[in-house]
Amino acid sequence: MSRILCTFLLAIGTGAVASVADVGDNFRYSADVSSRFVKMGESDPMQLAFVGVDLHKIFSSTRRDLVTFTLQPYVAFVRNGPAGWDKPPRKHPIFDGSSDWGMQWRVFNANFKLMQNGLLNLRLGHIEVPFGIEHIIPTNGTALNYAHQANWVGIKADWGASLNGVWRGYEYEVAALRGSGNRYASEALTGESPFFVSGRFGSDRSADFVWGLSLLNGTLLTPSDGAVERTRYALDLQYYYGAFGAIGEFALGTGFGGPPANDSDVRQFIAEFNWRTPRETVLAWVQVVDRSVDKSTSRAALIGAEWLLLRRVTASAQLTRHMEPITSNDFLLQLRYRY
Amino acid sequence: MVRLITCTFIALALHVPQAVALDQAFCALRDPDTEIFSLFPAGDSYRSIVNDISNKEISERIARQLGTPLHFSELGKHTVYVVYTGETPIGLVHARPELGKWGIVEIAWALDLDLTIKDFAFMRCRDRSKKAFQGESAAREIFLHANIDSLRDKMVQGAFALDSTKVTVPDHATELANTLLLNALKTLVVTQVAWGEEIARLKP
Repeated sequence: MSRILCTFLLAIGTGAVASVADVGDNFRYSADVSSRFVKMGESDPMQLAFVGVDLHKIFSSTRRDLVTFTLQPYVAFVRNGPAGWDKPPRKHPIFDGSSDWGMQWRVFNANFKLMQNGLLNLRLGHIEVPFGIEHIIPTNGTALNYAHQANWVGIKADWGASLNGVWRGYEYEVAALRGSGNRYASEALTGESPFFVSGRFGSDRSADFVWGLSLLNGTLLTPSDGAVERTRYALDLQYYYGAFGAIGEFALGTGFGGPPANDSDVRQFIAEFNWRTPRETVLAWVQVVDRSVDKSTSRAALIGAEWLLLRRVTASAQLTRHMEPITSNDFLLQLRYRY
Repeated sequence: MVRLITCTFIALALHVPQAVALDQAFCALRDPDTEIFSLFPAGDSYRSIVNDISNKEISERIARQLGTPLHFSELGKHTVYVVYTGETPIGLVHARPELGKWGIVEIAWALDLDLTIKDFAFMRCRDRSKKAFQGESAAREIFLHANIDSLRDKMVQGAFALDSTKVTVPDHATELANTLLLNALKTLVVTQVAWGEEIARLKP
């Protein structure tokens, strides 16, 4: 009942925001509701729902843009089944209980124009970690994903500051981040205070061929409040030909799980082949994710699709086949509505 | 699960009357800095003006002037960038998407304050025939220095297609040329109707 009430109040709140959409010039808003069903291996299904608002506001002087706010506060609801017969309910990393709700700050930041030609901007707030292919392909709230388990880089977005900009067909972003992810609190059980830097430099993301180089180094908080040192280097590539796209990311580094495995050598390769219909109502993809941590290797193949069912309604599905080691398949189904 | 679905549909039902066409999360919105300053090399700053073209009166005026209504996915809020050199406005950049042979084609159009096309650049286009419109080419010249009237003069009567007796386009690029024509006309008409007041104030 509390969830329904909360959703109801949030929806009214979004409606209120919507009704005062003239809170100034250069303001966009949208509300976003989605329901997700995730079946991982032999575990009972997990159900997730997300309700949030997406706000975009540009503040300008009479002759120039000064700062752009992008704010995406969401309430996330989870209901986890047990991990198997006669086992207790599972916990999810970002929730306290197996049936719980929490705030999720997807992107929540202000980007200040320090130079008008786009060369230098300062972003403050909760920002997408500038690392790899995930940074430049918008996947927020979709089944498509390039991060593949939080434990690879650690987090998709974090609190901190970045310098970013574009110049003659190249773009960059370099960030200093707290290492805590969704939460603002940032202290490990051992008392360590995580902090890391991450950056990506690449070519124009709207071209047919796109490349990027990324670096990440520092200490990040794990879901169980441990601290882990990680270093990552990555090369990402995209190539589009007609309705088809090929995407790849190759990353190397050290540090995977918590101590004492901090100095593990890690390597990850992601390859994707995708296809869109000419009207862009369907996007289908096949991915292979190959990862090694020291001498252990894992490999999975993912096949998924996103379909614009109706005006503003999108359905997504993804099947993950674990090939090395062989385990049961994972399945994700999502229905999303943006208005 | 039932509760989650209920939550989803309560929230959904409360918002249906306020529906606005939006395709992707706003974190994907990016200012076309590279295109703005390559289209206007003399520019040193710009200001965004976001206007809503979903308004019934505006969308009907656009449909009348264009000769066809915009698709619902083309409505919503859009941005026109006013480019300045010092304190002087020197032109506008308006980027619009259009459905092409291989998906969405997005073009940044550089206009002067009298709504004549000064230049254009592909922001996104997966059609290889775009090369016919890049660099110094006859196909590109069709759109340079054009306005609504001159573009209509180059069209086949009653269709959004270039008249091959008036302009020359390589055979392999005809489809993209017609996509560009429709997109250019929409850009000019939408800018005139929805941003007309702001543009009038910019003129000396």
